[in-house]
Amino acid sequence: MSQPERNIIKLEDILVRDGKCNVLFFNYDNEAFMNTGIQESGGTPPYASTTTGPGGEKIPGKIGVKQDLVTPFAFYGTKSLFLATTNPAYSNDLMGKVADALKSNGSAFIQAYSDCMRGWRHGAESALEISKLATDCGYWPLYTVRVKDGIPTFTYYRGLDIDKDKFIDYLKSMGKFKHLFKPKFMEREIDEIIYLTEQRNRKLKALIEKFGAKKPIDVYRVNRKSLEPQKHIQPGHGLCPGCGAGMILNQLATAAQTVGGYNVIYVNNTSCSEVSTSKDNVTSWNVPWVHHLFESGATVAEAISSAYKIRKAKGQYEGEIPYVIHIAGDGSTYDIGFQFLKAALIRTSSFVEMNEYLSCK
Amino acid sequence: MSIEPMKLFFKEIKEPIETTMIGNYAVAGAVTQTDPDVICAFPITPQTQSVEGLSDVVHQGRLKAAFVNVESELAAISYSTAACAAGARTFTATASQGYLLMTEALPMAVGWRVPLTMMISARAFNSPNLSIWNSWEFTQTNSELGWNTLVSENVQETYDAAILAVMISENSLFPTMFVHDGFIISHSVQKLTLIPDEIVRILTPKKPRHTINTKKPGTWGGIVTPSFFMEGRKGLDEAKEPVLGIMEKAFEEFGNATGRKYNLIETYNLDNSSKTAFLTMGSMCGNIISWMTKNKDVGLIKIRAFRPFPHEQLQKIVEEHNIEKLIIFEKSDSLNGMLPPFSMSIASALYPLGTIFRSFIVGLGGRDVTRDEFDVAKKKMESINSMKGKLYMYLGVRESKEKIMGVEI
Repeated sequence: MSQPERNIIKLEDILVRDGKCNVLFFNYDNEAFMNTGIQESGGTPPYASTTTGPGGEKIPGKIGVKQDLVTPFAFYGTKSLFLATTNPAYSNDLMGKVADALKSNGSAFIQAYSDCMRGWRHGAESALEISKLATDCGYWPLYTVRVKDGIPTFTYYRGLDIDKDKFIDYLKSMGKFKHLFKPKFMEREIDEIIYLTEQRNRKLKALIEKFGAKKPIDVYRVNRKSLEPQKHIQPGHGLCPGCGAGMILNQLATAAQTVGGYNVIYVNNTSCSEVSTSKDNVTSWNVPWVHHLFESGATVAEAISSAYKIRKAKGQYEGEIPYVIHIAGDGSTYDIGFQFLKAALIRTSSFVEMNEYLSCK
Repeated sequence: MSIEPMKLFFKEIKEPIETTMIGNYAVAGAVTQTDPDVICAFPITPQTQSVEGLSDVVHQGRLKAAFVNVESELAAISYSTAACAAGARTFTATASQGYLLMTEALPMAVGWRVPLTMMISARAFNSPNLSIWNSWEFTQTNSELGWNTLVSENVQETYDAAILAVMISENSLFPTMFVHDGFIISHSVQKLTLIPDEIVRILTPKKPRHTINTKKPGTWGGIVTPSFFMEGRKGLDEAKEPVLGIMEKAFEEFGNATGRKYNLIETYNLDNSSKTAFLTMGSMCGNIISWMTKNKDVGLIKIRAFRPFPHEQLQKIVEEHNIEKLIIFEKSDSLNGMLPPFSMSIASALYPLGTIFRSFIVGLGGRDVTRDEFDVAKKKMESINSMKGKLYMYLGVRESKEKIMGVEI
């Protein structure tokens, strides 16, 4: 078998493209309801200890699976959809994907690995190290799916192979898996986490095999020195030291600002990033930022985007239609907000046509 | 394929047109005339034709608007609130369970001061059974969240209310719902006169207001600590104070432009010999008025503006006409309370006057409210002279095969 080919995607090339995303839905996945105090969600991995599924003597943490949120979206038969997983430890990949998504027609969903030192029980200083380990051990593979007229095309960057030693190190690095190692080594449960992850990666590899691009490896080239520091969100917010969401917001906003300048509107589901960045009428945001309900953000983001389009078509609004980015985390995509996310994502993925009907491209 | 009754709205309406149609299409037509930018709803009987009619005018190219089908009523109200906050004139519609499902997002529409309008085809809540027919669900819950509420008696009124709601919302910057009784009005073909498009345009200009925009960035809906929350609530309460006045002004402007005068409260034959009046709202009023042609010794007070509740106006009317007894007819009940919800508002308003009243729960789940029931209520009221004892009773409930509660005379 020949070596798979790499597809180099330069940020400069993305920026000169014509396409424009209706809404970018962005999930920072911290694998539990963190803003309410570390309760179990559909994003919680098996056997992780949470406050509503503690690692107990009888039941060792979460019984169940970590839902696959991204891959299923590839098979809803959407028209134009950009899907990707990212990790802030691989920031060029994250920023490249955000820019790529924003400059793609249709709609986009990006899921980012989002370390939570408070909820995962580890020191703030190891956040980045753990994040990197997550991809390197095969737990958090970085891949992209571009759906066109119902057919997905899979590409990947890294993290598809399980490295068992690193995986054990990964589990050991966090208090949420501590009960699997002490007082006794729970081999069966540890094996199962690795096995389920392996199966997930097997599925991904098979999808890449079946629906892969000709050059299946995507490598984003982003010259960070050439990018203006982002000013969408100012420091001074209340996120924890080492918070993955903080790193992600910074990278997300850097890419978004590079693409859209200040013509960007953020919508935030109720979550850590929501309660921490705009409090008591003092805000960290320099661009419009909206919070509606725990679950409704995806719909709200879509509505804002559509309102601008129709107003422009009717001559009520003269400027460029703003980029709209929906930020969600803390289980609001896996669980309570799933219906909203799924529906808004699929609707907006067909809006290339709708925009034409409304004559507001 | 176009919807037949909507055809009238495809051409510019230049002169008042007298026609007949069901309440829901009349609303669809009136909303079309107000030039909404976004229409977003989820289907629920008996609201459906209102949005069907609107999708027709949009898809046939008569109205330039984003017509959006969403996955639930909670999505519909979230979408509508956000679109409206982003500057679009927005309409939605629902009923019953849909209204309950919207509950979580109804307060945000008020808090964000969006001039959103919503039609309600009033329908019972599911309990203990499903009913798609008329009850006043909108009084039973959510009525303290701050939405302005107009209630209409017939097709003409609901057509007019669709336009009035836009005027009131735009001028008060509070969302307004307008209600008609499900099926009884939503699906009844009645006579009405359509207003020329030009007049609707003059009545409902799109005014500049604060929107979610990147030129003047701001934050919407962020968290506040106990140090700030109450100020926000009191601010909203103060902002609600002028709303009844804004409604009266809208009624006046509307009356001058169309010749149809409305009021927060409308009255009939209050200077009667028994000093007694029926007090209700919605489609029952017409039936009561026609019954009154043979019962000239009672009057009728009809509430048109249910929220904010026009308590001072009600006090004034009762005082000026020396009304001693009120017969409240209400299509909702309260399983825990002393009184059903509509009557609670009236009881609070009339507390300083000590007016004697009884509340009659009628017509739940679409049951016909008959003239026999007006007779029974009137007769029962004759012997009531205090506010002691049980203050409400159900009328028109089947007790046995032969006997309907309260209706035997």
